[in-house]
Amino acid sequence: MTQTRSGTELAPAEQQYPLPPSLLDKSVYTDPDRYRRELTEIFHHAWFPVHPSSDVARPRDYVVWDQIGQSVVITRLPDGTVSAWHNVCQHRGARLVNGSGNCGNARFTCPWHGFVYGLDGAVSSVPLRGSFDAAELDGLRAPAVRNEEWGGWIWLCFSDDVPPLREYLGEIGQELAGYGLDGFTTKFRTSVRLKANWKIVVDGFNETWHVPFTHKDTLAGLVMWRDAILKITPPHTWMTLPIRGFTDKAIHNGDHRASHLCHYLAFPNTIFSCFPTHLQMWSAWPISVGETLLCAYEVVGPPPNGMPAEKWERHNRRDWDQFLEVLAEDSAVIDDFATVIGSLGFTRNMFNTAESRLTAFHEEIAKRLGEGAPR
Amino acid sequence: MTTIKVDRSTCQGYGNCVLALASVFDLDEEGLVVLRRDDVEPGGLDGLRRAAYDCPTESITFVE
Repeated sequence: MTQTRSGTELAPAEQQYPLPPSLLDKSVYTDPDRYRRELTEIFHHAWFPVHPSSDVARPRDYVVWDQIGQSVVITRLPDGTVSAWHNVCQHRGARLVNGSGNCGNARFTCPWHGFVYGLDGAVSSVPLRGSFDAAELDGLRAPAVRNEEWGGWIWLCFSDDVPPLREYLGEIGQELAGYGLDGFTTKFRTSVRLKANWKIVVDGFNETWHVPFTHKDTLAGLVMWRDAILKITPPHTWMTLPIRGFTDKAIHNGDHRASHLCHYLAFPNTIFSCFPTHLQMWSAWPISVGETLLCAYEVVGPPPNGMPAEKWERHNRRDWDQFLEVLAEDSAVIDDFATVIGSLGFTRNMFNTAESRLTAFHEEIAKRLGEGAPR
Repeated sequence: MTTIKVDRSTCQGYGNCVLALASVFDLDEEGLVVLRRDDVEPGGLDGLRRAAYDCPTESITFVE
């Protein structure tokens, strides 16, 4: 049955909201043992984008990525490919590299005993070489981290048992490919430390019906929150969302990416919120069971329809400022969880059908942890 | 001419309608919706549509 609300044609409810209501025990957000298993069973078996490719644009550029208890050096090799390796000396585990920059001499020297590593993480020099067991030094390197460069991002994966990136991303990879992200530019970035479990942070962005309450003065003016159509493509989820005053006037050629805001969760922790001409991307990185670092980026395509570059720059700035406003509104709600997460009155979530993406997200996590599905 | 109706029995005073079209909608001393006028000029139609759309309790109806 097609509903009509204020003259807007809606998709049938069962198509719009694919899953039934569900319940979720509060302990999934608070149990420290489960949190540790999430890191090893989920984050160590997934692909995630960690840096824009442009952060290591030139040969010998490097950047260090520190999240989820891991530290990885990412470098651009002279042949233009990317190398990623664990940021730990193979002598006695000291940290090798800090920060970012261009490594002119292509050597990273351990600050403790002077082991030297090349751009690809291979050990190129060992002080007092003759005093070591030669067999242990043969082919020694900082262990490589699986990586792929795609869509303007460098993606990492800590496991060999995960399929290649595009296979892992499946349908949302095909969706993202249609934007031509290799031609996009990272314009702005920010990070904010939130006092809530990482899944509360992810949950907070994957439904739209908080918009008329949390964002009544901001995002409600931009998106048609009632008309989100949710898609479950395990382990990922996504949705299309009409843009107020744009989607109804857009030329509909069958490609929702040209007319809608398309919002993808790349499981487990990264969201691509894509407008036809630009996007915001953000990742929720667990810090502890009750803390999360949210890293957000504004990524823009070329100026649309021959728009002068200067005007496009102003639009980019405006879009980013609006995003920051919305993020601040979400952050205020999320941060307040720290004050009530221990409340005896909070025992479980009840998700409605409009929160189907949250149900699917938690089902995927439970499955990967070998738990029963949420009720 | 557009005719607007509000249902005060379902209104919860969220105030989204006032944000959308303050020339037509207001909240009374109980915090519930009241109409300043029951019609809207053609220029206010977008605001009226948004007021109806953004009302979480769907308490606003109108006939264009």
